[in-house]
Amino acid sequence: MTAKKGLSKRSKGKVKKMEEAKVGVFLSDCGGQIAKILDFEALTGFLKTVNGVALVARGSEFWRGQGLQAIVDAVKEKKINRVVVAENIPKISEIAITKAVEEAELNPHLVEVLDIKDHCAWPHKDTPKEATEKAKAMLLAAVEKAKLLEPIEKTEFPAVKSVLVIGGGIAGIQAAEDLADMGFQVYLVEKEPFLGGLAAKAVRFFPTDDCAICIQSPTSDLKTVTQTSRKCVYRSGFSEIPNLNVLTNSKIVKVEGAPGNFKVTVERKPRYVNEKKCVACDLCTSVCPVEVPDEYNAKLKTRKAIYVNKPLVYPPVYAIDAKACKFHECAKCVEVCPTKAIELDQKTEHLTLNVGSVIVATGFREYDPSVIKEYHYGEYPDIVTHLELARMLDAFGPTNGTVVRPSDGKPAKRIVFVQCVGSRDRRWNPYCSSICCMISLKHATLIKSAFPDTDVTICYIDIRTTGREHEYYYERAREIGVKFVKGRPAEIVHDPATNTLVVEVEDELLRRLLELEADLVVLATAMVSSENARELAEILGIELDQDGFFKEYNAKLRPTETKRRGIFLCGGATFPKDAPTASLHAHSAAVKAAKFLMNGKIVKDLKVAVVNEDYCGDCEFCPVTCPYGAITLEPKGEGHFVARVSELLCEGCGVCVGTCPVGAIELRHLKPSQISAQMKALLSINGTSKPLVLAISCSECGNAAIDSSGMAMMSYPANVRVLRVPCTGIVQVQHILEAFKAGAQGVMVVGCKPDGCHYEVGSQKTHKKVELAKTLLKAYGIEPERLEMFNLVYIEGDKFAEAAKMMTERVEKLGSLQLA
Amino acid sequence: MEKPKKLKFAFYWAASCGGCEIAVLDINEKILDVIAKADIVFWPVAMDIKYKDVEAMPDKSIDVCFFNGAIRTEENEHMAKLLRQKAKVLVAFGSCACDGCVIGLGNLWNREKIFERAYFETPSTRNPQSVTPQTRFKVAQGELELPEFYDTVKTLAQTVDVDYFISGCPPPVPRIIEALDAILNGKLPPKGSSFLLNKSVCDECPREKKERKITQVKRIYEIEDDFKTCFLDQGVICMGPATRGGCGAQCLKANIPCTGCGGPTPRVSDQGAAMISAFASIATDPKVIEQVVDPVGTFYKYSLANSILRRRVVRE
Repeated sequence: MTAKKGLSKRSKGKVKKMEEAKVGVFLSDCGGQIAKILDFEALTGFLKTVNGVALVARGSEFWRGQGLQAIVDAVKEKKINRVVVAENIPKISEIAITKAVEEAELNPHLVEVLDIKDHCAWPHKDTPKEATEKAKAMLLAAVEKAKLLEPIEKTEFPAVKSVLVIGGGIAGIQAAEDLADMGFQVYLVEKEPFLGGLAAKAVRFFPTDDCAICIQSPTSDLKTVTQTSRKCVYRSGFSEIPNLNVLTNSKIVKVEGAPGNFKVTVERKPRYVNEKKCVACDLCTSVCPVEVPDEYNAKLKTRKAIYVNKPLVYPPVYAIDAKACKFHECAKCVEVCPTKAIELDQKTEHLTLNVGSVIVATGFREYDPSVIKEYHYGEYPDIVTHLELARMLDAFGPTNGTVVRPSDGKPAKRIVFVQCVGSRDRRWNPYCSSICCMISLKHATLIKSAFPDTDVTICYIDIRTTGREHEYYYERAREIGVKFVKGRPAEIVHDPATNTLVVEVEDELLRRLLELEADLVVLATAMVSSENARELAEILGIELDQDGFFKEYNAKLRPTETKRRGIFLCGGATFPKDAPTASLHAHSAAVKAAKFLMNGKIVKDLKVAVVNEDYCGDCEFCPVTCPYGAITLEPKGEGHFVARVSELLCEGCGVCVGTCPVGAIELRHLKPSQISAQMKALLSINGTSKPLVLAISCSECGNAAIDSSGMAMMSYPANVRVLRVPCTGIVQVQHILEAFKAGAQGVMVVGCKPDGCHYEVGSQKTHKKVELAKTLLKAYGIEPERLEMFNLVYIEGDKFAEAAKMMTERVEKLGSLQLA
Repeated sequence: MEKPKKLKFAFYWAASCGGCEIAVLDINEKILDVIAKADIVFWPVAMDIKYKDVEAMPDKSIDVCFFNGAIRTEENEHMAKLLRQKAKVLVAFGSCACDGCVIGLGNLWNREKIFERAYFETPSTRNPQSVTPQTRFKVAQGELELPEFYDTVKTLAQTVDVDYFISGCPPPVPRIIEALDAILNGKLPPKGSSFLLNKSVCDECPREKKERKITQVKRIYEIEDDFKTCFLDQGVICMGPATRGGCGAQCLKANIPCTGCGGPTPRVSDQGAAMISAFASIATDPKVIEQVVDPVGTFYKYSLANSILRRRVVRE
């Protein structure tokens, strides 16, 4: 998918032409608290000597009340055009400060907020003189950066209030219904001719044993539906919500455009039956001469070429199986249809939908166990999967609710369940599918309750019943006589003489080999990702995890979002789920999609990366390293390409900047000149007896750890200077070498944990850069130990303080680094 | 009508291999245009003119001096300063003058270590009297003075003010011709410009870029080159992405990876570090990093003297 530029509407007026920098510096002494440590008079005196500083003010706080008003007045009356504020917790205070500055008609990005309390006064409280000198360096760095700041404008992007939901299982239906209820235009796309997904086949759900296909009814029409109402899909009325369109027999073939404004091409295969005319009278099936195995009923019976899945489905309209139907050669159905609903000349259509976001609810499916040779699935007919068993247990199903042996149709009196078939097995799928234990317990209980004289045994590795009330469900199964054997069967053999299956298993608890005779063996197969997951992921530009399921942005914080804005996930598409969890997931995805589109537009500060096309050399590295797919290649001249950054997709981390070998990409909010000005300033004043150490830290976990060490007043030496960047991914080896050149005796890179990087890949990439830089330093005759990367989180402030001390001691021991 | 006054050109070689001199001849018949419009007043490789003759020339009397070679010795430095004084326009010609080139790799050692290696350790050396270069030496006729061999190789721009640059080892012929045309027609670009291109070698390379993920570093003999796919995609380190283009990717077209002779691209201060950052960013496995055994030789072959740190820290 290509992100296209354009569509954006730039806000006008606010951006003034660059004029000479007049910096106002506002020093908060936090109610006099930090003035006990830092010499504010010395700081003020120092700042007045700094070129470009037009105003220095001291107060007890500058992010609210009179202090904030002082900043506003300075901007309005004294024509201060760059604002530097030393204030507590910059991440919070800068919200109020930038807002006030914007109201005073200065671009809010001409503000630099720094923290001389938690980053200087508190950690260096025992060495007040050194702390004051460090504060000077920090303030100088902020002023030097501020002088180079440039205005950044806002842009609006359209957000179409319309959502595409892919997959018509219970998760997709729930999400579609939520969004339609909230007033969004919703398209629910299902690849099969009928909705319902796995749930429609599963009959009943644990632990309540209620109908699988029961959903919450739409709440938009409270005249007919009460809040507690729940109904089968086919009679829930959700199909009657005017802004919900169901597209069956359809699949996504192309997605273009940008988040908030996708153009989706849907391929809709013909049903050959006009949904608006069909009255489901069944005359057509009675005349249809073609019989094929019924896949919906696990091929345990046959159906006609024109058919409907009964009874738990939507739409309640017939469909023609194009692979089986003889069309005009036969056309008997056309003759009998009383409403002329059958249209054999229907063609595949391509629809283009304009949607703001997409929800993937493609669910999961049973793993095909025929690859597991020792279980002989597909070879011996009396070995079935759970879904096949579920169809037998359906009163409307192929066996009218009785459990039989498919080989001869005789009742199955001895049934053995085999757990973890193709799951928790490195040969096939290493993960636990999480719901199969409960499915086996459900089916065993249903069989044992309906046919008490049936002998039911479950062979398991571990019974996993982690949900609420699930353990009670397990207990009940034991109480009614379901037998349990702890052991993974070695082989299922077939005795042709008696047409009996024998399950060979070692009972691990009793330490003996068992040969369990069975009429029917049920394989609790692994649950795997939907068939077309990879293809769909490619179309949508999102990732799959190692097991082939769709990967969420963050399991804890963004469980239904993907790395690609505007594309959400729910239900079994991310991992096998039971119905309550899938439903919860679906509601969550619906809320996220609604939140994304509710304003009809996306307003964004353009704190993004920009490519200078005159220098971009088409090496094509940045599109690969960008964690957000925000960089695409655009043709420029014959055979030449340049990188282009989508302003909408770019998150402003700078991983591309840290990659670009020609310096063609820079962040608008942190230009290379600003990094180097700050670095030089931070290292220009030492004031301590120790060698200078530069800590390049990310603004996320890295800086949070430094904050927390200060807040907790953990001390570390004042020779350690912090240069903040959005993500360590922006760090280049040049920065490290420049730091040494500028006088640093040691360099620390402080980032998020490798797997917890706020920008996904930054921390890992920079780890590699640091490692290679160490090899390089060695070649330069510089001890590689002078450079180290630390991966910290907020609660590891103590580790930052330790690291700062350790690095200081280390470089002291190594001695002074003399560069030519 | 009076004949237009001819321009005065000078060519000089400092610490270099002589390849740049050949590159001047590689312009073939273009040399006739040069001769038509310019007189060559100084060219040690081709003409017998002494330093004292140059010293005698009035200041700024040479219109353009093409200076190749790095500043390795006192003599190189003296001539750089002298030619700067005598020439209106000074062009750093070739990788040695621009970035230090292979001569600059001497910055991994110092004078003492280089002498030790060159005059004692190499297998082909026989030096029973332990003779090493001296700056002063007494002979029967008097005391000889010889130029000093410096610890650190410098680029021309680190020694004197340079007007234009044309890097490459040697500079690509089409770029030399463009530079000569600009000079002969008085259409000079702004001071400090390079006659190479602003884009990198990748932009000119015909090879196809694919996955852009490096899973293993390979030497060129370890791959079966398909002659189409980018070397980096095949695991072979190619300096193309971080190297100033203008050469038409001629090495790549001969199926040899770029080793970086064009030097850093205009917005980069350190060619090697820029390539290391890019390389590490697209390496998929930390093991790939360990497979880089000679980072300076790989990433700084031509630009060590013109890098941020410029030389190795040599401890006694």
